[in-house]
Amino acid sequence: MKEIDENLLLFKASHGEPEAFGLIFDKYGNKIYRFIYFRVKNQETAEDLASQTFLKIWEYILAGKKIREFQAFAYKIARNLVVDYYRSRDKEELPLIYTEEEIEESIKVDPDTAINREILEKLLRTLPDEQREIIVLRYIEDLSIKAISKIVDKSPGHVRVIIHRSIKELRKYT
Amino acid sequence: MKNLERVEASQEWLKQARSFLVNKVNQDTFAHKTSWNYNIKVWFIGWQDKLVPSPVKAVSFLLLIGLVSATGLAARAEFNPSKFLYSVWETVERAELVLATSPTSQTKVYLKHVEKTVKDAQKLAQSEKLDDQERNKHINTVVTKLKKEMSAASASLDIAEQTKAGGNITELAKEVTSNTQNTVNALNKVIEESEMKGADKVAVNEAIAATEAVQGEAIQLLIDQQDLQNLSAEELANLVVEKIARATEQLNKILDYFNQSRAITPQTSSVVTTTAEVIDNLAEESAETAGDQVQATSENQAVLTAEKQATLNQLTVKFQDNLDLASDALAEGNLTEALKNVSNVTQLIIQANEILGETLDESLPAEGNQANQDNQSNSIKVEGVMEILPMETATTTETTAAIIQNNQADGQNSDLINE
Repeated sequence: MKEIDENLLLFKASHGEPEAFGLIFDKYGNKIYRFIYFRVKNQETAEDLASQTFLKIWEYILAGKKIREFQAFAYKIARNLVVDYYRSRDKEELPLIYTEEEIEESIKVDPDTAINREILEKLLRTLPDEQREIIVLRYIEDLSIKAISKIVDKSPGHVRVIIHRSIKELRKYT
Repeated sequence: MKNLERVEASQEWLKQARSFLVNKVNQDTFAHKTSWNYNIKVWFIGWQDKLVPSPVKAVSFLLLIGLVSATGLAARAEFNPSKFLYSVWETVERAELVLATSPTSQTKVYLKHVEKTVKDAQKLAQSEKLDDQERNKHINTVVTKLKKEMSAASASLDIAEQTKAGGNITELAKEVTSNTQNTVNALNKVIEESEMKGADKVAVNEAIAATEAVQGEAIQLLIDQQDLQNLSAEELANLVVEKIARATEQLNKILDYFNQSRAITPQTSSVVTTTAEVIDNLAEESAETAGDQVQATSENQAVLTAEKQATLNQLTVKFQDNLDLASDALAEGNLTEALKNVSNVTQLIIQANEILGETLDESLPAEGNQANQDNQSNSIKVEGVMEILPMETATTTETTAAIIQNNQADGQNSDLINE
């Protein structure tokens, strides 16, 4: 679905064609959920925040505001909701579930063999929140550096540096 | 990392969330009513991607400008596909296609390319710089390209029709009909001028058949649009009649293959006044043809294998059947059915061309095709088959053209259609 089609769907939705918004959800529902899930590591919370993301998008459209790049806009709203979520939990540090020691014991990856999803997920969660979010957008959601830079409010150069650092971090476990 | 793409929300949540959102949107927009303003905006957003050029289109445009200004003109003049400039022109053509934004404009671009390609084939046929082998090879390359362009034009026309471009479609279909007519004529000239023989002609004949098929589709489209666009039934009937005459002409030419060394005495055709009579005459002649052929083939063992004789006989009978059906359908005013039967004849012609092309090549001496024309013994071998040639190409074509004029004058043709 191209950007232009998304604009058309949003326009249709705002003019009384609810199914058009349903189609937008079909395309982005899982993506937004996944993006949030890797930040909160909790399925229920991720689902809740993903629902809130789409509601916010709808409120924005209903207010008559124009969305130029829907994809970047949707991820940005999801990102802000995650930040708000942690803020609401008494400024709790974004989760790093596994301690260094646990990781050392449980994740040792043989570079020559395929690794399963669980190990990958654990590896990913070893990264600081900022790095993890960018790695998810780049390598799981296949977004361009330019698109990521718009979502995380950083320059494309800065995003590249973060990706480089993250990969270096991940290599420690191989 | 791609493994993590499989992390997905539960289906239950997806369903619930979707349903909730759709209901929410429904509630919030309940009071909204669609207006003409809304419809215009929806239309505009839908077409925005066609109006705003994509990077690919912009680059193609620049490439086109550059190529046209620098080498484009020189490349356009090149007709030999083995030359570098020819491939430059092909690149320009590709760029033109990228820039065509709608199926209608794409069809027009393809038709423009067809015109250029057929001119290239004609120039190759007239070229004295090339030897026979080289010329035939290049002509085959060019007509193969033409065949692809024709198919693409037909596909674009089909898409244009499906997207309901309205009145433009009728004009476009007329343009295709006229272009294909010119292309068929030009390709026939290519065969004459290049003096192609046997299998060398197969590619050109295939291109003619493909062009005829595309024309059939365009005429069918016009027939479909007849009521919507107030097209003249007489005009459409004439198109079908011309097509039948051309199919007959093509068949005669195929059979002429076998009598290249023997003079054909032109037949004087009886004066006929209606389209139906033309068709009936053709059908009768074809019936005689079929009868003669069965007897004649036994004299032709040296050239045709029994299998090929049988196939040719079958094809001739089928040709006659289709011609009869076309005649009946035309008399009943069922143009679609008539057109379908003519299309069947076109297919039969392709098959006959293939058989005869192979056969002539097998029967020709090693020195080359030209020798066959002077070689009486070879011509004797094909004499039997020549007996099946009562239909005269020139007579048929002239008669049909005259008939169309006569019918237009006395209105008999439209009576046929209205029945």
